[in-house]
Amino acid sequence: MYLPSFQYLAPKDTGELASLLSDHGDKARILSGGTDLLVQMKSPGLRPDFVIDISGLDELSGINFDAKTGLVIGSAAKLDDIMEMPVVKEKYFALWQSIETIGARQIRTMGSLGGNICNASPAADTPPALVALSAEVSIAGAKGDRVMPVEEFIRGNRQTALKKGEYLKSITLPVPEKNSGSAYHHFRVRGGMEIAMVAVAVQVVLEKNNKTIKDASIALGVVGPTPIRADDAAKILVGQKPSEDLLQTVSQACADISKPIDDFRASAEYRKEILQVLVEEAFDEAYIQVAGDSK
Amino acid sequence: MDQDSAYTREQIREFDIVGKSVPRVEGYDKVTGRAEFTDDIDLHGMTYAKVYCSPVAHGIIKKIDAGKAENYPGVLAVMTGKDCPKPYSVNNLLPTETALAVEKVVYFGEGIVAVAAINEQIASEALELVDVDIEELEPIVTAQEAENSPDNLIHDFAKNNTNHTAEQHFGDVDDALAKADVVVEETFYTSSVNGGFIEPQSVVADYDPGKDKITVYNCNQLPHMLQHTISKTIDMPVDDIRVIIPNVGGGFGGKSEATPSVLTACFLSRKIGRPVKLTYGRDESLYQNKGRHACHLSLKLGFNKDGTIQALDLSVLLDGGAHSGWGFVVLWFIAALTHLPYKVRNIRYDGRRVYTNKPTPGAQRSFGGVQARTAVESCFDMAAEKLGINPYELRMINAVETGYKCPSVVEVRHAEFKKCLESVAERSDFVNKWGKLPRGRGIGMAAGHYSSGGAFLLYNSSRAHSTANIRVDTEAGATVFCGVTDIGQGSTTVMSQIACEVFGIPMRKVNFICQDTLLSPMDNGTMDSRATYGAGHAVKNAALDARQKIFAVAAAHLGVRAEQLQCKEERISSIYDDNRFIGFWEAVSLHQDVKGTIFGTGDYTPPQPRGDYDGKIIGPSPAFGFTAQIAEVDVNLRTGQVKVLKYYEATDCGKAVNPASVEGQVEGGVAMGLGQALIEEIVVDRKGRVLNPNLHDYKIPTTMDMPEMDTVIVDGYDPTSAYGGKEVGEAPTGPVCAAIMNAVYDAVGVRLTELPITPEKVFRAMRGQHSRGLELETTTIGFANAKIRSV
Amino acid sequence: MKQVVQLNINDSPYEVMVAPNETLADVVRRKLGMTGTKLGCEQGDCGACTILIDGRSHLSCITLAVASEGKEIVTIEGLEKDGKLDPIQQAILEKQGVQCGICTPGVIMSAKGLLNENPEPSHAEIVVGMSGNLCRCTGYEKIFDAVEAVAAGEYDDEKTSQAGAE
Repeated sequence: MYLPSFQYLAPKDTGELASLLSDHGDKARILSGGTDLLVQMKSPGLRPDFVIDISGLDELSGINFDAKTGLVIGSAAKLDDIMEMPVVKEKYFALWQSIETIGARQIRTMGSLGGNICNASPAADTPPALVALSAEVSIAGAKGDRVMPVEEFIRGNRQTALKKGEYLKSITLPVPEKNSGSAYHHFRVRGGMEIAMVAVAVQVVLEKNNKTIKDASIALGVVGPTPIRADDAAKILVGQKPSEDLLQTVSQACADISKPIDDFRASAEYRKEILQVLVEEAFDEAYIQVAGDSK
Repeated sequence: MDQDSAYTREQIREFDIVGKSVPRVEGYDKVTGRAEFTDDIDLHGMTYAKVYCSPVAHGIIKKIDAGKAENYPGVLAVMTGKDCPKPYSVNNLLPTETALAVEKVVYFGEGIVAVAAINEQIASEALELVDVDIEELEPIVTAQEAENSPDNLIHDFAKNNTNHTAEQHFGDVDDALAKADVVVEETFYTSSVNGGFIEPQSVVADYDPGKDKITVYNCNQLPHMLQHTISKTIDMPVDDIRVIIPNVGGGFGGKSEATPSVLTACFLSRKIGRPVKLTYGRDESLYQNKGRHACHLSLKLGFNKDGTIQALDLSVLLDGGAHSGWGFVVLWFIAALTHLPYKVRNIRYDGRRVYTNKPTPGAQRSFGGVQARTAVESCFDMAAEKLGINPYELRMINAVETGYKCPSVVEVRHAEFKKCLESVAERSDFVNKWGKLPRGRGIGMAAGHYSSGGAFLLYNSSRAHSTANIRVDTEAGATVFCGVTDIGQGSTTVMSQIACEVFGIPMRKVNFICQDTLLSPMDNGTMDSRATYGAGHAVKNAALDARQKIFAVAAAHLGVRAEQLQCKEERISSIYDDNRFIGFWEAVSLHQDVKGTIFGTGDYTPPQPRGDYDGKIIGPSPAFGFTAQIAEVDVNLRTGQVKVLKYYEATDCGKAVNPASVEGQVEGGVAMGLGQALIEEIVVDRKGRVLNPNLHDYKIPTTMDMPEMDTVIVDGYDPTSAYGGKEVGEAPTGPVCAAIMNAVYDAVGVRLTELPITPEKVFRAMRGQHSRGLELETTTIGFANAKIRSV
Repeated sequence: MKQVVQLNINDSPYEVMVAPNETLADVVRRKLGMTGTKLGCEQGDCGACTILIDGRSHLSCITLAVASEGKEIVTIEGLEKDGKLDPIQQAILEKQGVQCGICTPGVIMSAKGLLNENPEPSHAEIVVGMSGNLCRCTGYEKIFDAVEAVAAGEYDDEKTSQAGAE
């Protein structure tokens, strides 16, 4: 199974990367880990003339946490390296869980967070977590940098907001408010090496009493071409104390706005059912992180 | 061999090497990367072939334009179906398969054009220049459609697309069912699954223009049958074809037929006079399939109040895909595998196998067994509930024992089946747990058996099923030549152990030469769990033949009668006086001085079945392996997801020649069954296209899908076997689906009757809904039979 | 455009002419004759092609050779030293974690990578850590046994590397 022919370019720095991208534009694809790009190139369809390898660029591989700005992850940072940062598990648990879900150890060693986002697969694991954690992406281009939320960056099935000559520089996750917790839950048929059939990420912030919900965000994955930010559903939670009825209302609201596909893996109807279960489970886990066991 | 009866160590079943978990003989090569598989071969002047696969499942080839490909620099030859049009099949029954499609395409992914080039990339690029014009025909994608489309025939000769039919009737089923106290009846659908061997099929064909002979390297389980298929198809005498089987990266039955690629490579190699390598991609491997037959079963069982089974009435419809393959054997095997391991006297079987425009299934591990066990073991549990008898008790009441004779000619010469049932029931505390676990948790039992090699004849001849030759001398030690193929199950190790045991020599003194038709005598090959029993007999007989000659020399030297000698630790000694001995190799050397190198030969053919009914040659076996299994599951009440928490198994394989290898067979066999039960299925859409020809959507179990396993080899020794051993490769796969289905019923009160039991199916069944059917453009039919237990 | 790349494989330098579209798996198998690295799916789904790059498990079927310059690559051929097996090879052999052998090199390299990262993994960590390697023969039990035995130090001592057929 041969890859089609292409020219391989390995820029030495982001300056060279920018000029290569402006030279080659749509004829080029960025290679970071290769776990998506090369697999797609082995199937008919994707035939870039140029492959630009950014995996060696230290400028894009950093993972830094700052108590004010939050967590800044270079687009080429490896998934495994992100998981190993204690702060990720501590403060951004949904992201940690979403990375742990991806493929297997080999895939996480090779794959990058930027790749997982830019590949813009509807079934990608990290985007829903990033959306729920209100992450923003920094895009670099000839006309300067742009910043936008992840949910705006991913425009459709395999489509991003990147314009000709632009590349994804980094992903920034704000410092979570005090008393907050997050979780990512997914549903899959096989135990390992599996993509999600439905996924949900939830972040909750509780009032000082550790009972009442101060703020919440919910992101739904694999139930539409892009992750869906379920703000209206999340709003239902604000000012409330969790109860079974409340959660059912919220999960129903999530199901109502979801647009899952019907394919041989599962029916749309079933995906909606699972979505509701995941919303409730992810909420529970995020909530318990702050409130402890008692609801 | 007569003198063997004087071999008291064997009489008291005291062995040095048989029964020991010696590591695999070829294991060192496999853990260091030295072991050579077909795709690893590099020959002088090697060329590479690639195949253009049909984008439609059913169609007429109107035009093939390969001119541009032919002229592409680096391309050496282009071939189409017309170049090699002779059809072939297993045992030449209804041959329809060809190297490449001839005029008509009958399944998605079928090869149409092949290109040989100086490297793989050029071959791939050249294929993109091939233009094929196909007039698409309506594809037939379900077995029911096949039977109801008299005007749409996949093969012109096959009315109603029927491939084979089979009928058997013993006793009087209607009468027995009428008199039975309890009758249970259910329909089942067992899915189409693939062998999923990690090594895709690969072939290297090396035609020698100087000698006008061809050497073929191929990962195949049946080298001698392959040789015959090649001979017929490319018109070369059998003895001009040498088949060499390198290491085989998993077979599971899927590699027991010639792939079209073998014939394509042979043809191309002969055309260009250079070796040709053709390795399938994972997609092509799934299109070629030869996995398990999808099967619709309709089963009725009758019982008396005391739990004794009275009648079994089964009809099946097999989805045969585009060709015959091993289909006729699978069709008859379901008949044979349905009534054992229970003592049922009235049996009726009605089976049909039809053509569809789908990948052709074949004889995958426990072929016929998974289908039969899924239906019978589910119905046993249904009956147990109606009768008010614990499912374990019901199986014990009806379990076969040593010496049982079926109403057919099938005879069970050795069985420790009841020990298997007792072992799993006790270890899992089944009787106390069944029906008593909290909702969402369940425990289920199922059992089964498999034959250790059938009595049927390959090659339409009466030749021995296995032959082994042994050469013993001080220059090479003991060298066994045998045609059995090690596909990973460990036959090379087991055969070596058997030879060592006869001679009383260590493993390092044995060379095992197999998998090469030039060196190995004819053998039926590795299938139907026949290696340990069948080839084991041949190797033992050959070794005894050689030993007799060595003993004659030793006897004269020691002044002891040859019948009173024994071998142990490289010494030949009197059974009455261990101090009267001669070194084994010293005796061999003496023989060489006087009479030359020692040669021994031995063969084995199972007893031929008597009786005169259709299908009698399929089913009877000299020995049967037995298994009993229990699954403990957790069913997520909200999502329907089934998680197998713990799996208990007990095997009767007679004497385990290599216990670690036996455990490996059981664990791997259960894993394969678990995959079919829960996650595996070849999905084909309305157009006949395979939707999941890759290993992320065709899901074989990963480490994270496996339950905790608890397996036990029950104590046993089959006296009819070479060293007491019988099959273990297939029986364990058979009942897994049923055990899990029975456990799901125990957990949530719904009886799933369709594989795989996906979360969505369980979810819908728990809600009393029917599953989606064909409207989803897949051939997974909806289950109309979810039974809801009132809780 | 083909180019000469310097690959450091199993502690030896190799100068190879490769095209950009050649994967590391293709190069080691076809150009360097190290066929111990296996191909099962060529799409990153089965793990048979697992090798170590800078000590960590990678899938060589979706790794470009041109992108592997300057890295420390170890294939299955590089584990055995002077005829002595690596502990994980010895354990897989003795515990019969090998049947047909096609997934075995990938399983071993993956286990090696896991043990590099986590020398004493728990059973649960082994199950998760080995989930990228499909094996159709063993049901994984004996592979778990082997990795656990190495983690428990059972193979720490200078065990002989004889194939141990007796």
